[in-house]
Amino acid sequence: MRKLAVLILVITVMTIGSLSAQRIAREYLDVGDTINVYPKVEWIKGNPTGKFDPNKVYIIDLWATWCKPCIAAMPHFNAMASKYKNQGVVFIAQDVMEDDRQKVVDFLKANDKMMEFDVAFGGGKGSDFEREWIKPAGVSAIPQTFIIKGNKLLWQTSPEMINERVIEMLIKGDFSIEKAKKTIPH
Amino acid sequence: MNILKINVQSLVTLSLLFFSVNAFSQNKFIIKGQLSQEINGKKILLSYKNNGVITEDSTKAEMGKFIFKGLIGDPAYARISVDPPAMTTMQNVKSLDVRDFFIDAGEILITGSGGVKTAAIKGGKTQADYQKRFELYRPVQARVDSLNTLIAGYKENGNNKAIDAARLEMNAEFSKTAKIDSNFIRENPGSFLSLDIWRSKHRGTLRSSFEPEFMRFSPIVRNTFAGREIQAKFDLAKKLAPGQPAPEFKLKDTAGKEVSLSSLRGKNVFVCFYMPDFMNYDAFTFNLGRINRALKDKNTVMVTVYYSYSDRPASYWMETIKKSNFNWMNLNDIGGVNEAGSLSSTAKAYGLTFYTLPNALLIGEDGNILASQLKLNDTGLGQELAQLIK
Repeated sequence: MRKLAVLILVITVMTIGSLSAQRIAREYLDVGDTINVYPKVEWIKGNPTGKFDPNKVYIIDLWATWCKPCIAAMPHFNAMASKYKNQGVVFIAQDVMEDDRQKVVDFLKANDKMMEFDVAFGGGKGSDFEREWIKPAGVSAIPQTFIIKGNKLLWQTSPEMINERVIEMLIKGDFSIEKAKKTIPH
Repeated sequence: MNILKINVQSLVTLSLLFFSVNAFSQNKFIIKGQLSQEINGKKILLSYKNNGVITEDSTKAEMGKFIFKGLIGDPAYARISVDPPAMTTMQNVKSLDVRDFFIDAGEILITGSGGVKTAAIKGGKTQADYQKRFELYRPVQARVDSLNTLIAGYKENGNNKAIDAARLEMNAEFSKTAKIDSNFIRENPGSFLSLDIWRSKHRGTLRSSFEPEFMRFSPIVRNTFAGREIQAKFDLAKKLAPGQPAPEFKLKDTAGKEVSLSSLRGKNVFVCFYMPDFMNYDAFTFNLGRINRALKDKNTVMVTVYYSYSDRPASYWMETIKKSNFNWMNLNDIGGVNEAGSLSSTAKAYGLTFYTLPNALLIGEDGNILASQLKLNDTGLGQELAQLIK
């Protein structure tokens, strides 16, 4: 009887352990949702982001080496990353939707000056980034840009919507999607 | 009394009266062709859109000579071809003898020593404008042709960098055509062709903000059948503007039970009229889910209204609901829209056509519209709508 009780206890502890080891995938990532931790990715340039610093602005641009519009937007991001790097604004070029890590590394080598900010490789299909970000945010096409501040997703948009006026609003703390949209001439 | 003034007034009144009677009447046209005499016994096919209705006619050329007679309302965009194959394929497309032009009321002459591709086409004002626009396009076309030749060469050599550069230049060339067109429209407000170019860019829902652009066309152009159609769209946009009462509809749900919009009074209603399987459909359904999550605590009923192409089985509605995860009120208005436009009272009231679907509105608890002309691909739309509900 005592043996049986010990066995049940061991099985229970093991089950709880294995459950806590598995992270439950995020179902949705909507504007306004809380986001504390960057998914597991491989940082191949710059400084890794683990936990989001609530005092910083994060501008995360989803791109891939095969995506021409994504690459076309990079010089624009690079200029802004350089301008705001000491003002608590973190630019991240997050590679997604491709499995070949070497391709990304080669691209960065060939275009060293184009992306002088943090670059991460997502890991392609089945990766943590796909489970925790791409699927919950409904990303079916790139480029797409996400803005995070105060551990909240503030905006899911496209790179051309990000400009200096938008970043100034984020730094000052008076950002709203409505105001940001008005900075783009129609 | 100034007689001259009276005469001018009478003339204006009479001409307006004449014009309004004549605006949607059908006018005769005759196309006289004389091509190479070697084109003998061959079929000549003419197709054109008469006030939105596709019309086809054919005849046989005798020693290169042919005649078409018909009636048109507005000047009609037309295509004429000699001995057309049963089907156009990638292989035969270059050898087709085909030409696009405009039919104005009156006489049109198509003459040349070869086929229609190289013939001179002389007709009315719209055809002259069409030719003028063609000449403005010519330098762009020449550069695009030479870039295509270059790209073919680069492909053989495997020079991917040069291909990318040439494609980039080609995109820049194509973007010049948009500029040519906007200049043409601005400089020719009295040309039906200007209106035709303009409306082809605004085939979907016409946002009220475009009305000032439309008002720059001359009154005669605005009073054509096409112009009146566009004006009607603007009038409808005003009826569906925020603050206006949402038109009533009564449609069946998945259990076959009739649901009316008025029965939902007291709740906010997000209603989206849609057809399935368009490009980026998955992103659209995901965004509806996002809107649903954003409005879930806002006393809001989420409603999707299904439309379909006639060749889809009735069961496709349920399949669509399932695969799209539409876990809310689903209604249908199957048959309410077809290729000709809006058929049902709901489709007419909300201006729904194959070109304007999907289309959504947020309606307040009092039945008045809170937001319309929504950009359904905007990922922040749910949050914006949530802010509109007090």
